[in-house]
Amino acid sequence: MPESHPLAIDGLGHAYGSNRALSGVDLVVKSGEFVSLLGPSGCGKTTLLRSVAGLVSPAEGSISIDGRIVNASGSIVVEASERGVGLVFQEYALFPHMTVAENIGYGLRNANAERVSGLMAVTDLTGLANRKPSELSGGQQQRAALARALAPRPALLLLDEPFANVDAGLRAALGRVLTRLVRDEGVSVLMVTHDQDSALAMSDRIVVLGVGERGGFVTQDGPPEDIYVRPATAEVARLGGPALLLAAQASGETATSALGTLALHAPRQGPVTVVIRPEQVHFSVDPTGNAAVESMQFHRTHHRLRCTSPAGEVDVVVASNEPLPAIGDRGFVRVRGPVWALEGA
Amino acid sequence: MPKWLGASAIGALVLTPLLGLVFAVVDRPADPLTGATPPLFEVSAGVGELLLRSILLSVCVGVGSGVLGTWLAWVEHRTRILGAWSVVTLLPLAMPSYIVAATVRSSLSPGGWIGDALGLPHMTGFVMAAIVLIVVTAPLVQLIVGASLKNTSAAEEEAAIVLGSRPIRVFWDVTWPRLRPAVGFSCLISLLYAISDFGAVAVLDVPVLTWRLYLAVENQDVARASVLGAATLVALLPMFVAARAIRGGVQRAGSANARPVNPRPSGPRAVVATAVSVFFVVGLGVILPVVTLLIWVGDGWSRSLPFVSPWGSIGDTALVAVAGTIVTVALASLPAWSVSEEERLGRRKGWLEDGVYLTSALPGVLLALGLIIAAVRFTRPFGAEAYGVVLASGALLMVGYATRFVAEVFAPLRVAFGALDPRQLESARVLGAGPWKRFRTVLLPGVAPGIVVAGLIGFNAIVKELPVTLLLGGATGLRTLSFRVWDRYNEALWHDAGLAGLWLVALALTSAVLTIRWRKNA
Repeated sequence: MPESHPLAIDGLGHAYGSNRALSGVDLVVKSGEFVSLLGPSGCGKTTLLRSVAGLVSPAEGSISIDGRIVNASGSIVVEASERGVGLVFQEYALFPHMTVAENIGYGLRNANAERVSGLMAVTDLTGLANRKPSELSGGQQQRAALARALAPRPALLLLDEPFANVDAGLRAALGRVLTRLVRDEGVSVLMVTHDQDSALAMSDRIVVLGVGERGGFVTQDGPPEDIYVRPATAEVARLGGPALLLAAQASGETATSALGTLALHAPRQGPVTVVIRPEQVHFSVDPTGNAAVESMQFHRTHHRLRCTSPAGEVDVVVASNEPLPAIGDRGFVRVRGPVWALEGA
Repeated sequence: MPKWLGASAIGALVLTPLLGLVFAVVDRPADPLTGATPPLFEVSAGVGELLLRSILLSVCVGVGSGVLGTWLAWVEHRTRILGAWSVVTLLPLAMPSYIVAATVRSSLSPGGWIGDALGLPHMTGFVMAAIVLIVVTAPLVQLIVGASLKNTSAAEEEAAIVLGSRPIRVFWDVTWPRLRPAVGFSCLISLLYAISDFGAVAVLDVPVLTWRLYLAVENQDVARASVLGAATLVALLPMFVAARAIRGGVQRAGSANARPVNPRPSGPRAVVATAVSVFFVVGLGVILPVVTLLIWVGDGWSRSLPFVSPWGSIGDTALVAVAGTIVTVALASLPAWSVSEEERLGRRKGWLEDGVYLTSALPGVLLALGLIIAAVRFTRPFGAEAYGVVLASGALLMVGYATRFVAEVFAPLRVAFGALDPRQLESARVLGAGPWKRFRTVLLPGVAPGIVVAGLIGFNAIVKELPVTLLLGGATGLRTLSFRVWDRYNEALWHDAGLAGLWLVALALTSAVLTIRWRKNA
């Protein structure tokens, strides 16, 4: 008997009229795992999430939740109301005419004040039970939506862009609440996002979707470190964060590029594209150097320099406690440590 | 623009007819023979019964049109049964209730083209009046509830589904609380419409307050009219207060920028229910009246009856409607600007808006009575002839239209003024544009679509209006199409009534269609 996972998707495909949204997507979320779906706009990640929730009937493939087939061959086997998943909407979708407590208790089969107050306590909503959603801040609304989704103790929690309407200051705090809650509740999570920082910070695994002629498809599936350090394609490299993609000639464990000879994570031969992250690049001041500092920005923990170099414009990260060059200073740009090489220039 | 200007305009429109009604009660004229003021019990005989019947009729219409209109709104926004054709159920909005009533009575009763074929009894009385008024007001409910349905959030309903709710529970728990204010408000609007209507009840022989009030005014029985007017106000007041309380809820309900719910395929029962309701509303509200009017005209031609040329009435209607629209839009612009300014500054108190709606809540007959008495009182110092001059000049008619329809044109104007971004005017000012250039190049293009919609709404309403036109327009010598339909119908000259009616319906439908098209630009 095959192992039953909280979520298993096999060959999922869907189209809206003549527009393909998804094609041949396979995905598994294991018990207790936090998986993020990362991808550009239009890659079908929200369609995938809504298919799992039962709000979209995908044209192809099958979905099973906790070993129970809920979608097969383009038809719904189990209705959305019977799937027992939790879903947090991007716009929260709290019921405006109900109080916070009524919202959180809505999905419970039997009234359970203890469960509601317990969730309110862990989501820092204590004292707000009788407030209406319109009387809450954005962060409080999001925590209430999260508590509502978790109240019926779903095995699988779906999060649709949960940080899209939250400012950067609140994002980290909400992320901590979310990961703690998910761990305490023992729930598996599938989160749709285009926010690479949240995906990298919170996920056990990231599934990257790309956009092809036949709609969204999986381009890479792996732990966050792999997505960042060893991206499968140039698109994945860009989705993972700022990167310098540089043509180079590989020969075994090194490659020759405009920035000199670079060490590689894995041996390659022939023309390659190396992926260099800003924190790997170092600028050393030298009046005889072939690079120059063009501009500089302060980012609390570090400065980001933009330098002209033989490889074109290059971003360099300088920690705040390190000596800082001045704009116009000349020097050399060097790459520290091994870099990842993609086949082909 | 100073706020007192808008307040003064609305204050004058509200207070003039109300003052007139107060004068009517105070002045209860003496009997010309005995010189005695008629005792109150004498002039108020039977008013209780009329009041009860009026309230009962309006409640039946409110509930009936609430159910029917809400269903039509659901069909339009949540199903794919009618698709783009769902607007056809809005067409009865363009039909005057007295034309629907007259044609329904004529065609369904013995001697009528349907009544004879089916052997139906005389189609008059309370039930028929309720049916006609439900057909005419259901599209109003469809519009108001439909706007609310359009703003419901798909995400909220999906959240309830994912949390384990079946469709019926989703409706009651999530959708209905969003719709409830709109359904309640639109039922009250239908109720107010029914209690104010006088044409349909008169045609269908239902003795209610407005019809008896019209007869009293026409017979210059001011004493009786004042008692009937006071009774009408008593019936209206709680409805107006309730409508005011709910209106805020309608404005708050719905989610801004919410993802709308997609229409879904329907089962056979929904398709049958839709077919029946569309047949009822469009059949009784549009097709039957138009066919009957055509039959009346055809009958006149086949019998070589002499027709009164409609061109004079068309010209008079256009003149009166255009002038009335200009006056109404100009007067409504003042409070619309003030209210939108208040909203922009976050100091919305609402009393000015209440004044606007109160002004239009008075039934046409009551309004006309109030204006007549007020005009008689105010012109008294200028000699016996002054009142006649004012009435014949059409000024009173224009004030009547403005008072009656200020609320209808106020709504699109408020939206248009509210959408103006004051920073655009500031930008133009900083760029060196003077007041006239700012008005011409920034302000006017911004509000013009809203003004056009307001104008079309006002034009449509005035073209169809009956009691104010009859009571205040008669002395002007102008014979509008509505005047002609009423006059000819009562003299049983149905071929003439039919011709005038067809022109009236054509004008009303054209302005209604133009309103719908321009509304998209506004």
